[in-house]
Amino acid sequence: MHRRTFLRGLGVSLALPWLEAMAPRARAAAAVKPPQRFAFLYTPNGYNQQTFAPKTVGAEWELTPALEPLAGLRKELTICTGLDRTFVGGTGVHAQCGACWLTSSPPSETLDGGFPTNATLDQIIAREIGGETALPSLELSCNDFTDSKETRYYECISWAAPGYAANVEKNPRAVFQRLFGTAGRPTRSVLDVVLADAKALQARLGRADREKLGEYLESVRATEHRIELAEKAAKRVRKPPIPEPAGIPEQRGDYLRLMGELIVLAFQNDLTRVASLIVDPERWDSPRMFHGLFDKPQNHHVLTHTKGDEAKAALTKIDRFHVELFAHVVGRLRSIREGEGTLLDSCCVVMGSGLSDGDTHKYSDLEVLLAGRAAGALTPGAHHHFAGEVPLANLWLTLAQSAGVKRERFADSTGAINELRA
Amino acid sequence: MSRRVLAFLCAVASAHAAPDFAREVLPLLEAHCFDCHGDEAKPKGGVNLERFGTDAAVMADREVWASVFNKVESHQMPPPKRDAQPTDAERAKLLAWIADIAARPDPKLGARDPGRAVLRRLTRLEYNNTVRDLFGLKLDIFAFPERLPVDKKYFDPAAGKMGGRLDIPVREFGLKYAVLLPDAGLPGENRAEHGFHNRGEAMNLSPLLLEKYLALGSAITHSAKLAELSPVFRALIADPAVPLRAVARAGAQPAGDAPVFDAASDFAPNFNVPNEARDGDVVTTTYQHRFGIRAAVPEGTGGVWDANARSLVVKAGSPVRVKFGIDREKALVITPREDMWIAGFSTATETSGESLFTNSTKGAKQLTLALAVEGGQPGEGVTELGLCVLSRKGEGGPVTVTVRFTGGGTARLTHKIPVGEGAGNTFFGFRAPEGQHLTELLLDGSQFSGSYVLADDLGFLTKRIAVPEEKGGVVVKVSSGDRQRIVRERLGGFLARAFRRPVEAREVERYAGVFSDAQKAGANFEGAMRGALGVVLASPDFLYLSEAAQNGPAVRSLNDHELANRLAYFLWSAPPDAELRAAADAGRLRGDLAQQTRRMLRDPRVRELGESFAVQWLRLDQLFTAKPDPKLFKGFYSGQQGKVTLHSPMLVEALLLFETVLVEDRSILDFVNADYTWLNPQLARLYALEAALPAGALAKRPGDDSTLVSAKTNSAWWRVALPEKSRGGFITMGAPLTVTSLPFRTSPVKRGAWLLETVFNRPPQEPKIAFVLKDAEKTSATAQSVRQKFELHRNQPACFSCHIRLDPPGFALEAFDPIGARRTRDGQQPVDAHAEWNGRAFDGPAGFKAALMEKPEEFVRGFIEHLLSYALGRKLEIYDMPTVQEIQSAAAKDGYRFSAIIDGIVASYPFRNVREK
Repeated sequence: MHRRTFLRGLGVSLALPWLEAMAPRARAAAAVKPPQRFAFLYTPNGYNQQTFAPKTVGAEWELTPALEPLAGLRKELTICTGLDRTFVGGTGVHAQCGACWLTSSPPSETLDGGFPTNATLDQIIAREIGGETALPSLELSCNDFTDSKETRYYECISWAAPGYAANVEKNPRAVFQRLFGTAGRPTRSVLDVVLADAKALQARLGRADREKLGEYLESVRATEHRIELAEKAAKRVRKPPIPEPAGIPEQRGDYLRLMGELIVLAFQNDLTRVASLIVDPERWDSPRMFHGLFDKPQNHHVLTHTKGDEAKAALTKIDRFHVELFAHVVGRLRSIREGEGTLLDSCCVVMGSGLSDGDTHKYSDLEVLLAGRAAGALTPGAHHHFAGEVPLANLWLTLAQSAGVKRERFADSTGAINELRA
Repeated sequence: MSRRVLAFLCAVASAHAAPDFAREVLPLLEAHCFDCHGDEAKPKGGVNLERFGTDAAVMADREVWASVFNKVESHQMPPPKRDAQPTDAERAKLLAWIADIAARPDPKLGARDPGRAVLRRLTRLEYNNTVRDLFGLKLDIFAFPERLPVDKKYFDPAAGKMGGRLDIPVREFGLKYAVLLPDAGLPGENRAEHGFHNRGEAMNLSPLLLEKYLALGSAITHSAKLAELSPVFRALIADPAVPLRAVARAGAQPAGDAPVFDAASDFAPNFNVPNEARDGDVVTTTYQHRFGIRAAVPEGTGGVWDANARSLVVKAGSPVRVKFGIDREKALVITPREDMWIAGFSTATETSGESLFTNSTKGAKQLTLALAVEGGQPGEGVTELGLCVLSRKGEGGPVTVTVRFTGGGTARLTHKIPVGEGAGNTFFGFRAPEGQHLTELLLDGSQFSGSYVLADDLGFLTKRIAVPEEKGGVVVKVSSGDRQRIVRERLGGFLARAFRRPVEAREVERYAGVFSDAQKAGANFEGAMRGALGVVLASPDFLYLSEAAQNGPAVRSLNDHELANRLAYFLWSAPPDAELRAAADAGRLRGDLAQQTRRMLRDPRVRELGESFAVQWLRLDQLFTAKPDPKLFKGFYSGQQGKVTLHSPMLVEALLLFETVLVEDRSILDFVNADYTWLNPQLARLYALEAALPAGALAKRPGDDSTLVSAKTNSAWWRVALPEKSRGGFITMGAPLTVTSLPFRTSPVKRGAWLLETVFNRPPQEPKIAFVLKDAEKTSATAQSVRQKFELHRNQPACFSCHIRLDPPGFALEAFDPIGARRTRDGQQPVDAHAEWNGRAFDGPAGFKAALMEKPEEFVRGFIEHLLSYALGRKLEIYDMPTVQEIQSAAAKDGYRFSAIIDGIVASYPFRNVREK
């Protein structure tokens, strides 16, 4: 879709959907504090270590080639470098990367075969703050490869429980239809019938299978709840702000920006408060086109293991391409006014990869980009470098606490990072 | 494991003299294992073997011993670089002991463990096939990438023979094809770790997917096309008060001498159609047009009449029938008003076949054809038509083609056909106005020189135009009681098939409720029925294969219906058919299992065993995304802009080997060591085996090099005997060799890992350390071959125990480049394809295969494990070891024939029993 098409539908919206839904008195009381929103963008295979992280810490960090697209957003940004994870042996280095990036299990706890998958940060935050929106959370992916060559550990960074991956949506059209109900919604009486079937089936099953079928039952209940909330939301958002996308755009950049835009629209219209987007899966050795960057399809993973300046330069281009998406989303959020400030002020947008150096599959010295203030919980504006062993989970604990999650530990965290707090 | 060890192991197993744990096994473990895998805080790899003090302790927690078995058997443990190694006899003793504990009854169950009951969601392929069979459709529900772009007409398992030459057209991968709902779909499954898509625990369901199932079910049952294509569905939704209008039956059988043709699916290739034919009103029939017809054939809504006869005069007024439709149940009836002649003309070049149609009376140069559709749904008629007017040597001039529509209007195109033997062949295309049919075609060549107006390849598309309800049509009075009974009868029958088991009255009542709710909300009978049927397709009883707990003994045998489901989804990826259901209903399936299996292996649905199991097993689902570098590997790409690739032929070659073994019930050893393969011209060129093809196979028709013609040449396949052993079997086929390569170079590690995983089912462990590659690469200076670089890497102690297994196959295959062509040099360096396997030195792929065939049991076991895991939809566990051994021993007596393996799996303990706890 063309950029202009987006903007036409939007204008400068002053709508405050979460306020309109409230009674006038509550509105007055709540006017000071818009809800928090969290978005997690995942990019695969690490970053080119020569051109990504700035060397200078503090507010005056220098623009690196990969971070150039962020030039105009410095005040809204936090850059964290030097954070560490521990790789759990026995499973694939790439498989674990994204699947366990946000996991709440420490590396010592492998409840899913050899994988430490568990409820991920986005899902935990969604349970805390997402309850009253039409979708408690949104899980998106821009992996449009049709070969299913890799396992589900590559497909998803959002997990509901150990071994229980969220299904990601890859088609912008389906995301749109789900957000704005344009393709209709199942009726209550239909849901009642399949729920009754599921209960009867569950009663016939053995114990372990009952748990597995629980996914179906939970899904029916969640859908019932969602429809109720969606119907309420539909009274507010009568007309979708942009036309329905036709499908997956041909150009890679358009595809990424459109998915980013859908997150922005979902936040703006308070249809969800938590979103995750896997920009591309780990490894997946299938070449893809990065339109406008290269004239031939590129294999991102193979590039990370290729020597020579040419490959390194290509990696920088890809890193920068992904940073552009991040900058686009952040910029769009900042362009929308909300309450006293902008929509970005209530958000925390995170971008990172499960590796630092892709060539050596390095799980330590990770880079994470953050933007926004999470409605006053965070203070952006600086580059923080963490020397020594500082778990990435410390950052996740900090974000969880910012969202009001009452917990003192997250995975292998050793404590929150106070420098980031407001 | 050496031969001696294996012999010893068999001897031990047959003598039932399992080694004693405390006396014989524990000392071995102490001497060779506990140093690293003992009672320490951090035993190596997290594996502590010292915690097992007794036999009973081992039985309580057996799982780890399966991997001990594999590591010890393959000499990966104790580490090969360790000085103290067990003797062969000691190794065999340890393995015999593990085999024995694997075979023992589970103390908690008091019986052998058959594994848990099945509870798994249908895969996307199974969903598609299940809906397809429920409604008796011949086409897919939606397009999905697992459906290979191969025309399966050649596949006839009932014949028991594959023959020596096959015609296998393929479509471009990803190109749309005829399906019920072109815009619908489901997300695909990911494969399980080292497993298949159908593994239950690897498939999750979440609200997003549930909503997709609900929407898709409704889209299917509300599709207008479904009602057109499925008599089963029409009968379900028809209002009993409005009796089904009798489907117009094909008229009286045509008289014995009346010509009947079968519709073809393709317009002739366009190499002899002048693309510049644009003047006047002429519509050059385009590629899209042809595609439209090709898509219409499987949907039963069109075809091509390629007038093919040696010399036949059709008398004025006597019809020619062109059969089309899914079961050839319909016919385009062409009735000439003047005598028509079907014949070959040596001075014309026909568009397809050897003959054409023209006026019979010399010099008449006029032909009027009345068109009608016979059979099918009322209101069906021709809506689009295309035909080719031909030119003749020395003849040319204007030809006018006129068509008449039901509304009374006409359309006329005139084109001056250039002189020439085929040079002037011109396609004319017509489309009826919306809501009308084409009823007549007039060819007028009175201005054309010569005595005949020639035409060929009459393509047609048909469409049903709703006939207005007849006023005062019959409406039967149906009492509300009767109506309720009818609704329940129909839903009950449908539910039993959809849920693949007998259903209870209250289940039928639930769906009758959906029906009556819809009626209360204003839906008519048909609409309410469509709604209820759509919900069935999202019910967990439809979406999941399940086996209920019976609260009886800890282990129970499956009932007939459960067995029918396992069998059908294993062999067909589809639900049980009527015959299997009848056997289950009558309770005679368990006794008839072998016979039913044999029957099912002869049914065309068994194609999924190749397309689903074999394709996943061999990782060929990744083939189409492999993109060899177009500059380095020019041979992979041909045609305009390199659009014709070797992906499809490589896939077809592999599929044909699997199907040959399946259909002809050959030994599965063919999979690694066949002395034949299937080749089309493209692969013959890649393999430098052109000489193996019959003379003329590679020749093109003179002067043509269009993509369409080469597609025709390339769709020809020959089964050829191989001159030597470096080809033959999957390992040395283009497809796996390409899948396991990077775009620019080979990867011995990927090839080795592929081989260990597919051929032996012993996938290498993921690297324990992620940092090694870089260190190894630092020392690698320049101009080294890929092999030399990897040699440096494997010599790291941490890597050696895996690479000792991983590298030899990879090195053997270095004799093939990244697209599977033979090579003697890798860059500047000569290829070095020597290594050692099972203690035997080899050089090159043929030598490697010979080393492998010294112990075919290793491959057979791997294959049985893969297929058993696929059949059970679960990961194999240590307690499945004896089952694999039993199947293998039984199959060995039968020369490892394919059916012996299938029979063994179907008759096996875990296939027929489940654990209840």
